[in-house]
Amino acid sequence: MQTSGEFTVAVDRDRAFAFIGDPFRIANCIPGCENLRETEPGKYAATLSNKVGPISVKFDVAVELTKIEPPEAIDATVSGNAPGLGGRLTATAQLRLEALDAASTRVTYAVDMGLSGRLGGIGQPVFRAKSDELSKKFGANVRAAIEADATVTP
Amino acid sequence: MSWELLEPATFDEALALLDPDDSGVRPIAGGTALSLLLQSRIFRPTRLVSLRKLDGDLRGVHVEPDGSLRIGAMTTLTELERSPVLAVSEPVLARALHSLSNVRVRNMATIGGHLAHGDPHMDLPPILVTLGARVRVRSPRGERWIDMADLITGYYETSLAGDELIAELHVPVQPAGSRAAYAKFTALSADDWPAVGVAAWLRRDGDAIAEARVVVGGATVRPTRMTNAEAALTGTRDGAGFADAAAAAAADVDPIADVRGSRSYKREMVRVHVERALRRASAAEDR
Repeated sequence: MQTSGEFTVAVDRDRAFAFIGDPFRIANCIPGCENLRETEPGKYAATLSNKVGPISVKFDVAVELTKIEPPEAIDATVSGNAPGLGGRLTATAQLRLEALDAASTRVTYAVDMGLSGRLGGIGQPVFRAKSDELSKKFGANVRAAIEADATVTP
Repeated sequence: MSWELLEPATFDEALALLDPDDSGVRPIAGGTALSLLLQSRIFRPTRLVSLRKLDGDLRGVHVEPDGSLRIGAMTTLTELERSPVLAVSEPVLARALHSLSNVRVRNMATIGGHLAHGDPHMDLPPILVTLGARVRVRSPRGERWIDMADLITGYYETSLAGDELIAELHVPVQPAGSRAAYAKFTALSADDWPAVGVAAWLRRDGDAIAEARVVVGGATVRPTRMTNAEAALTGTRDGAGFADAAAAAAADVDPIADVRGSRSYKREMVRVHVERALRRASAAEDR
């Protein structure tokens, strides 16, 4: 399943990249992402948890930054298991930054995600619906965080 | 993980057993939807509060003095389907029930569970939104009414608090000159959940449409009113604005892609079935 989005932030591209290229700051913008830690250079571990109606899921994931090209591109892969639930998540994410002018940047992002095991069967439609919602929230969070950052450090 | 199944004898006991702070505590009525989640083990309860022993007062279709309908939450879908009162007052609901899942599910599933589960593939919520229906819910704090338009907030998500239960569904008397229809499209088997379900409601004044309500379900995370489609109908001569309304709904709808079809496919099916539902409503009998 794929989800994507884009938003424009009122800062220049270098400044936007300084935020987006920092895994710890971007992780704060991912709904349900907690306990991010660097396991080796360019590799991270985290937990992703979410709740949809009666269903709660928690994934232990490994994140690897597969491409970092300042100030315009970041790619990452995410893979992990939901302990006890019997489901596996694999995803690739791409973020692109495009300078619109000296003070605004367009950020586009796309995530291609797969769920297998029990979550991939009956859970597929509900997680697909939820991933669209989370994707929108992520975009809004990043935008708000970058702009809040820009106002405190002019 | 172990869990308990409790069977309280009264509504108040049932309310006391719910726990808004524990998402593993869940009421269970007919169990047709929840058992699928249990079997797949993607829902792991700590406690299920069965409502089946409190069906006395919560069962049946009652006609109120003003002609509106009061339907107890534990009324099964089969009882609703066969209710002579419902067939006369709200034939749109009775017809939709004939093709809602299959007879084995309808024998077990209750109207309260159908509404509280919050699954976007349920057939009745879009129709009930067009009819202006509402539910009476109770909690240890008292009771309140929720409009059907506000009940379902997302996929499996509702505006019910964790310690609230639906007690009854109330369907008001429809105004003179109004007519309603539901168009269901299944992409898999005939008794599948709808890939797209469209409820249409029209109130005519002479040969013009004075008021229109169009609600899409199945394709979206929650029953969604198509306000631009409704605006495209209001004031038009019956039939003249149907294609425009269908195009507006297709443009506005935000479908979920799943095994029943891609986003673009469902968008097109919304266009087709909004027009179909409007034509059926237009051809239905006036009140």
